[in-house]
Amino acid sequence: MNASRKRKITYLLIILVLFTTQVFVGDRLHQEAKAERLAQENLGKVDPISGTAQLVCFGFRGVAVTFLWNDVMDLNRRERWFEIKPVLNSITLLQPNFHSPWQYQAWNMAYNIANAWEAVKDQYYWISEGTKFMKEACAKNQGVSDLEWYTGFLYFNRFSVHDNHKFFRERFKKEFAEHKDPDFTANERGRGDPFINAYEWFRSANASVVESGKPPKRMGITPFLSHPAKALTTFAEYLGKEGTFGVDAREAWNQAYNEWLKFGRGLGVARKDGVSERDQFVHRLEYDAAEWEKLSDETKYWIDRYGNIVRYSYWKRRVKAEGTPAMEGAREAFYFAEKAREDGDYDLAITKYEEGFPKFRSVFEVPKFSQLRDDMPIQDDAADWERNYIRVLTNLNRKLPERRPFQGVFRSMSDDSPDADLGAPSSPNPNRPASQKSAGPVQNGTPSPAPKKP
Amino acid sequence: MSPILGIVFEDLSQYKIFAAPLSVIEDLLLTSGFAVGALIVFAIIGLVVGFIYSSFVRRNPFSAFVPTVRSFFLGFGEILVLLLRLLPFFIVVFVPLFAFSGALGRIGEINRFGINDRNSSQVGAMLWFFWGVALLACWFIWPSLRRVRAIAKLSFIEALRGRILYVFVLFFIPFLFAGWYLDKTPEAVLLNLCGFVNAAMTYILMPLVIFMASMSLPNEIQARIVQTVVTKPVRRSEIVLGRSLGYIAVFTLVLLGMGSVSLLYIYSQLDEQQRSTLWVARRPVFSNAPVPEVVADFQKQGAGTAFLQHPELFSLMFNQNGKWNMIATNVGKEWSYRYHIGGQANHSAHYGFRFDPKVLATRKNQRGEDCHVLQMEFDVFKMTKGDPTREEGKDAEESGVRCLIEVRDRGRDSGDGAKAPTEAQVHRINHQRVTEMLVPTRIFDNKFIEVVIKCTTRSQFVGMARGDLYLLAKDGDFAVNFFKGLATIWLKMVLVVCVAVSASTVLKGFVTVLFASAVYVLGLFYFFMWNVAAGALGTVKGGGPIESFIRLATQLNQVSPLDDSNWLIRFFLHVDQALLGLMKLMTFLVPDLSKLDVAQYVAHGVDVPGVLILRNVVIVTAYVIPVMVVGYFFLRNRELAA
Repeated sequence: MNASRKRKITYLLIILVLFTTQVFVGDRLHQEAKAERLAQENLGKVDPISGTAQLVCFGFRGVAVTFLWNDVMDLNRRERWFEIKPVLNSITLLQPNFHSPWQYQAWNMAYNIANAWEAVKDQYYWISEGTKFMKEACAKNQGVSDLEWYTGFLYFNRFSVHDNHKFFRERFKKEFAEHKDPDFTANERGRGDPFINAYEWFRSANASVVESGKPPKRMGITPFLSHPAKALTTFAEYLGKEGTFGVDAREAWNQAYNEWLKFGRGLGVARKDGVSERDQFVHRLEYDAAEWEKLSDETKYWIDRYGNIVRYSYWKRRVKAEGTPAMEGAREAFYFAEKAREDGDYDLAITKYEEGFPKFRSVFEVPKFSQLRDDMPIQDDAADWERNYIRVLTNLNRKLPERRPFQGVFRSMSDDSPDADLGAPSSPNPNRPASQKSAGPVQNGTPSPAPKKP
Repeated sequence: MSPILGIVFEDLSQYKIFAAPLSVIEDLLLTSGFAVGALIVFAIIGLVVGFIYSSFVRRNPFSAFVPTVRSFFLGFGEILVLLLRLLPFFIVVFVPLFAFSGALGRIGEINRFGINDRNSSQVGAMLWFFWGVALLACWFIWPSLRRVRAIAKLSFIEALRGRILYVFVLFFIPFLFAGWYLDKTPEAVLLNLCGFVNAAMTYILMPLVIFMASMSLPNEIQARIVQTVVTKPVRRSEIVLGRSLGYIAVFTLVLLGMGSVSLLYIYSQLDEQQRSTLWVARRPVFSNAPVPEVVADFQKQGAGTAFLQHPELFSLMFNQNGKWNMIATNVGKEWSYRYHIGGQANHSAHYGFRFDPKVLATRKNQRGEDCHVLQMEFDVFKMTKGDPTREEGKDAEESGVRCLIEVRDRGRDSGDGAKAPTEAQVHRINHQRVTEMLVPTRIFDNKFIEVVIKCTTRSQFVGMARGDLYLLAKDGDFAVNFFKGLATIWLKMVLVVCVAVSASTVLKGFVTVLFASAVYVLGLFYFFMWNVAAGALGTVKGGGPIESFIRLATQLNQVSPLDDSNWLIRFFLHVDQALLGLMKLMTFLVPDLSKLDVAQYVAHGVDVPGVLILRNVVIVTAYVIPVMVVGYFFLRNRELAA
């Protein structure tokens, strides 16, 4: 056997030995990575194209991504929106486990690009694209609470704060009903409402935090964990705004209340013994009277402090009040009153306002809800209804009540204000016709008499 | 900036991908002028450098001065003779290209060198006459190019026989899976499909072109096969030219095959509705003439007739409160490509079109009249929330602003006081959505129309640029347009083949691969390289390679000044300036490949202007000729048949 052949056989043997060794060592490394949750399949969905793309870059992945980012910024500047998505896909293909690109570009689509468009359907499209982009991020990065939270936040924020949120909500419900774009509209509860989608994502984020034992990075753990309850609260609130009352509405408020309680009880996370309340991983805010008495002053201080971050007591009280029959009846009456007023049916509007006033006042006569008198949103709502009621009366030249319907109920709407007593001649009321005579004080929603014919 | 071998030409197409060049003829004329100028400059520099090299470097200058200089000029003469022999073939190819691109029909727009609208038909006839003479000359010259043809044929067969071409099978693999990942929304489907197929063809073809063209000659030299060629009466110039032509032919066939497969793939991925709307190549006709009031205004201001040499620049003018201007309101966007007119203000935008309406597409409107199609895609900038144009109770999707669009016949002499025919319609304009208006053909009878845009929705702005409003000519075929778009890859391939073959005359195989790859990659990033090398004039801040490294290492941003008091940093900055000088030199030598890109037209469903391809051909021709001449001289001075 000549020297050349011997060399070749030697090399082949060395290759075989090394290859076999590498297989076993690699497998062992992979098992350890899986145990530490660092393997690719632990991070999220395995994408062979992504892996191939990274290999093909030969270590120049960072350079490639830098140029792709430049492309995206250039396309953004030149408003070539539809060419951005493939480039974003390339960036996330090369960096699937980098969280910032996913989050930044989802935000870019759902906020900047959406607002660059003027037609509602185009804005909606880009919001849905941004949200679906975040969902893909969560699929490739499983168990990352911040990404899950942000997905929920897009549903929550874009459908509640945007100027066109009413149109977006209509479109969302329509697409849900027609089974269009299920990737964006579908949820486990089978409800066509973006706040339910938000709730499910927030809940998933909470589960990831609890399971991993790692606090979220974007905010403190207490406000982070409160978001499922906020989502259900907003869902129940919007049911009322959009005219859904009765069993569905009460059920929604009950669920919101239960979710707040669940949050207050610390999501069932076990307490660490020997650790102060300040250093607990998840803070428990809900205690019954007996348990509360047993707590130390320092513990009570920290519970109050963390509770005030999310206004836990207020929300618990508020959600409970909203779920009462009196409040539900009041809101229903005012909803139809406002609707009748906008449609020009003033008689119906007056009837409904006067039906709602006593119900609304009765809520605050319950001792545990009396603190809600100081709540600004409730005061704003009450002021709107009161003002609109008076406006309707004025338009019909009807006699105004002697006292405002909510006079004395809310502290900021005090009896010292100039129009507190609408019937007194010494109190000039610009809304009151000069020819109208005082008919004496009105008590608790007594209908005002019709003006006498001249 | 006009590099010697590369050509840089700022045109409107970088802003809106389907805006026409400044003037199709002006563009071609300028590019051709640059090309000829570059060749002349190259020839002069080549003569001087070659003279110095022959005289002082290769031999003892005093004893060998005359023979080496004579040898150099003989070589130079050989190149000249070869180019002169090829010149009739250039004419035979270019004149039909010139005609089919539409440029010949508009040659009267040059308005210089004695050529104008009145004698344009005679000039065209003269060009065809020269073409006929060139064709005859080709008949006689053809036999004398038998050696070039033989070498080209050999290279062609050698490339086909090489098993390396089987690598193209890889081309088909992405097509199996691409459909899973590509976005299929109506707005993006064609963009994504065309982008994908172009990327697939480029990434498979170009590495192979670089490798095969670079390795062929060095391998033959190493294996001494080239001696069987050089010992024959074959000129070195014919070897370089023949080899290049052979490889160009092979890869052209491969590109055609890949293009056909790609076209079928795109067709299969579109559904019926998408095919009916997207399987077309729109031919937009853009505004090209200022309206008479603008001309009068300029003349009143004593602006002279200089501006009329480039009428396209003034074909969109804004009138705000009775004053004419090229610009209108800037609403603060980062990209100031568009200017905005206000709603219910005394603002209007005026487009002027002067051309023959026979090229335009025709459609019937609801009244049964024959109409031409006016399309526009404007920017809507809202100052107030909500949609004041939406009728109560209507779907929120009906948002937008209202615009009054008037199309007036300005070619009619209104000396008799009669009102010129006008078509006025109010349209709802949505942001970045195409709005279409049918205009009766009678308005176009006098071949000069004005389109006036006024926004009628209060407190809103509508933004527009020259490329945002156009008339539609008869649609082209998507398949033909797709193959025109392949010109991007074809021209890059030709350029890379010529560079690789020329470099392989002096460098080893793998070094040539690296060299050709570097030229290709640098050509793709030419714009970035120029911006870095231009220093303060460029848009990329942060200095050259060494300064950038210092900033990266010290985590300093790109604009903060470095610490000049440190002598080491001062030293490195000086070295960096030298490197930047080297980069600047590179911008003179490396071609700007981004200028050759016409694939975007296809992706957006717009017909590729023939004259744009012609311009790119001129650019590539002007680049490869000097490259191959350099390759010839390297091969000539190399001892191959020792």
